[in-house]
Amino acid sequence: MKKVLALVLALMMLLTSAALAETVTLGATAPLTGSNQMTGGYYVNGMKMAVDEINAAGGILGRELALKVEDEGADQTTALNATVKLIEEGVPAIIGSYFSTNCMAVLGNVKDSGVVYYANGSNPDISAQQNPYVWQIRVTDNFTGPIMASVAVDTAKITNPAILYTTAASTTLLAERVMLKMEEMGYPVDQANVYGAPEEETNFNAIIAQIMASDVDGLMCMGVSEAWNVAFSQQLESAGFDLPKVGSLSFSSVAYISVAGSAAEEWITVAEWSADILGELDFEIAERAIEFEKKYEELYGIPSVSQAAWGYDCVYLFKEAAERAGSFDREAINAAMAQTDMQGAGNYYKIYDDTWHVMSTYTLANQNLGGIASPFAKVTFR
Amino acid sequence: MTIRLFASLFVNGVTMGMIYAMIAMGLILLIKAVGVLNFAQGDLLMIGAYITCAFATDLSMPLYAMLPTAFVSFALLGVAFMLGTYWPLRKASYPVAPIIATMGASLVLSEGAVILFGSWPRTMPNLVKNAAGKVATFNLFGTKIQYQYILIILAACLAMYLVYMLFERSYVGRMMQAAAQDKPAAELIGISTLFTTGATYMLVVVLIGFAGYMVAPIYTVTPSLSSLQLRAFAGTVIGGFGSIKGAILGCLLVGLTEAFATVSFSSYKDAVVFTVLILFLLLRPQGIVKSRIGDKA
Repeated sequence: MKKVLALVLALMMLLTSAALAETVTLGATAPLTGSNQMTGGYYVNGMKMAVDEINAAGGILGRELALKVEDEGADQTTALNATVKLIEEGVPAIIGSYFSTNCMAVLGNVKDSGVVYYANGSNPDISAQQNPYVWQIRVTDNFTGPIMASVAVDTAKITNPAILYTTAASTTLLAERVMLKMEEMGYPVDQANVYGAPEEETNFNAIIAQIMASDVDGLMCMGVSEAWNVAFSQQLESAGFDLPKVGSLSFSSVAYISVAGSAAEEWITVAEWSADILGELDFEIAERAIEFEKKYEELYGIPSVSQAAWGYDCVYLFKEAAERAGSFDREAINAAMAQTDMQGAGNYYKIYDDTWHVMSTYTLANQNLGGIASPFAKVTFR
Repeated sequence: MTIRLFASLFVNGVTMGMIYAMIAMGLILLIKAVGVLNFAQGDLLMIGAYITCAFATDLSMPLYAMLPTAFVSFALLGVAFMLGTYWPLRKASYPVAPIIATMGASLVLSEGAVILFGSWPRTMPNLVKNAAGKVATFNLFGTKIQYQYILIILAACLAMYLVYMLFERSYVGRMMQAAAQDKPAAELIGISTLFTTGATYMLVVVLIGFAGYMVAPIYTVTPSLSSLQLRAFAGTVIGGFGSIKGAILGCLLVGLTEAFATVSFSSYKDAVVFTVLILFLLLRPQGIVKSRIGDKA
């Protein structure tokens, strides 16, 4: 009996290892629990869609692609632990967090292990560290800031704005870049009209009272979280603010718009992605973006958000790098990443000389109309 | 500063001060009754906001049905909170055990809210709307003030008056005060400390849940609403630890300081508030109102 059991066990182990040998596992961290779990769900959906497409087309180098997602929760410690776990499991690459603070927290571990890391935060400090294994697909804040300022002046006709920003690192930097560009354009921002509020702030009425009492001709707002944006927008609407409003990426998200309701209307945003690309556009958009959105809506029954496009593109970036490398060795894939030249759903990715491993090429200007962020211009910044 | 801006900031400051005062009243009632500083006070306010939001929006309950149902829910939550964090630990050999339990309860409540109600902010419709269905406002020195703010101030005053009447004019209130001052003596004369403790917890959670309901329309309902308790703590200390009157005054001062601090220090208004707290601790540690009843020897 014991011999039979041992034989069965050995056979199972053989079959399992044979199956595993046919699979390559791509790691990812996403907020599956906590306050960001909704956008985390979109992120994973985008990745899964890409994984299924790739496997349907024969996988990568003859192997089936598997996705292993670890929960990064809502704090850096959990994100770090999730990343370390994936590194120790031997995955060749990790699709990292879209929160810059989480990306920054894991850079040391990434460098020590040599794992290829797709950092989806927007803070330029991520790439400024010149970590050889970190690849940043987002439009970083040092590009977004000047674009926001240009859109505010040229489209919204704002020349004397009030500026409100979340006092997180990325939005503080974004606000600084906006003000710098406004000054370059000949519209210096009055510091008395610049306000900061922490991420956990929920009462903006005192700030709004000051904005309403000032002589500004518009508002520019840099928020990190949808909850912060919703609270501010609704209190702004209740106060009767009717001047032009320009917001950062999170003001264009489906989740923000659905919760904020009428308070989200008419916000102009600078965001890399809009789900409303299936309608008539005044500019050319990549066919791949349209295909992605059509398929996403067909599969999940709802429009996508930025995070879905980022997750999707990261999987394909890994696929193409692995195929160029001809192997799943971390160093080989990393070396192959330097030849990236790919039109993804969310952006065109290439290696540029002006930054270290920041691969994006364009962004979109949108306006929230009728419950969705509709793009009206594509801004190619390099 | 224009009169328009002053008026807006003043009303905002008084409104928030009243919310903090309701939180602080609950804190002091618990300290006086059972000697426990409740670190989950803000989370109870947050839960109150979520519960009333669920009744009003998910279940579309009319106000006349929603409020009594909410109060009953808060009372039951108060009993559950007492049985979970205080009653089993009241005779623990480690005296701070009930306080530590409230810290744990704070985490449980905040994570529980995310599990039960989701992580996304929820909006609560204003109680006072105009003909177009939008937030109703009135003009004060050229600035728009929401009627909701005035409602909060009036409701808070009413709640404070009712608590005062309960403790000063009702038999139940005197029983609760007696049990709070000297439990063994109260037990000896037939006052059930289980009853008085339970009644205190119910009162506190009803008070704080009601505060959550009042504040929900002007904020969005998120787990971060619990952070309001920090200002309430500050107001309690500034006003004079142990004095309800002092707590109300202290919280009003905190609300006004917070509102006017945004003029020059919008990013650091919390730092301004807590600097005021530190100054009070250094210069007048007994607070604005010194409590007339000291600890027994």
